[in-house]
Amino acid sequence: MPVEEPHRIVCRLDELLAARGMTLTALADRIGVTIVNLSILKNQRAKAVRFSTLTALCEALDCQPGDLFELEQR
Amino acid sequence: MAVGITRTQRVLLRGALRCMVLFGLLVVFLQIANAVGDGVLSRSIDVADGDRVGLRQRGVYVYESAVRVDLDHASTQLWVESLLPTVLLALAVAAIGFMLLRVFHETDAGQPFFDSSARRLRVVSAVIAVAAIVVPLAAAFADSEVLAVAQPRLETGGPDVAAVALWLVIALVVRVIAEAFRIGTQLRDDTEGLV
Repeated sequence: MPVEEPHRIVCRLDELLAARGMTLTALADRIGVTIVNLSILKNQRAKAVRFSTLTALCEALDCQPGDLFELEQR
Repeated sequence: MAVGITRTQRVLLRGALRCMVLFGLLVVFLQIANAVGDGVLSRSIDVADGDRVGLRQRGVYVYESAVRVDLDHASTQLWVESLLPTVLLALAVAAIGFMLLRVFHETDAGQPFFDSSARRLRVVSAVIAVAAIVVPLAAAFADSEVLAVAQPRLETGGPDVAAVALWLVIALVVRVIAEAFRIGTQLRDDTEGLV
């Protein structure tokens, strides 16, 4: 089994939601992803994101993938 | 929730596995109790050169291929040798039943792919393989030792090679299932945290 390496990707879903005055529940309803999974993403506990989820998030938040994620500096 | 089986089937399966454990332990207890109790060592032994009983009808031969030996004053060593195959088999059955019960509990809880389940199935496979070889050998040895005391001119038939092969195949099948569980555990780990 490969050793799991820690990542430094930070999800900015919280900030994007606040900027758009949208709740997590409303976003979950709009894109059809469970609130549990969105909560995992928002709280930096996600290890991977499907392209389909990313597409739906970007469409709903009217942003680019780069707006949603950033690489944390060492 | 286990997929594909009903609640009744789950109850029956769990009951059957518990019976396996109890049966194994009960056999061990009864064997020891019998040895301590009446003190008569009874053993049914397949012999190599059975005497023909004498019936011959349209090409059908009937052979007497098994003898029953009752020894009143068997030595402790002979008792141990005689009890060992049955006790080993009973312990193997109990251990297999116990481990399958644990695997079933985890599967029934909706999480079949655990490292522990894969490990238990590997152990079950190993126990079956070892028991398939050791038990018939121990039985054949015990038979020959008992016959040497009771009736030295007879020889044992030896282990049933077909049965040994069958159990080895079953052990192999369980090992393959264990490997499937191991890969399933890896896949579960890979998709954990996937959004």
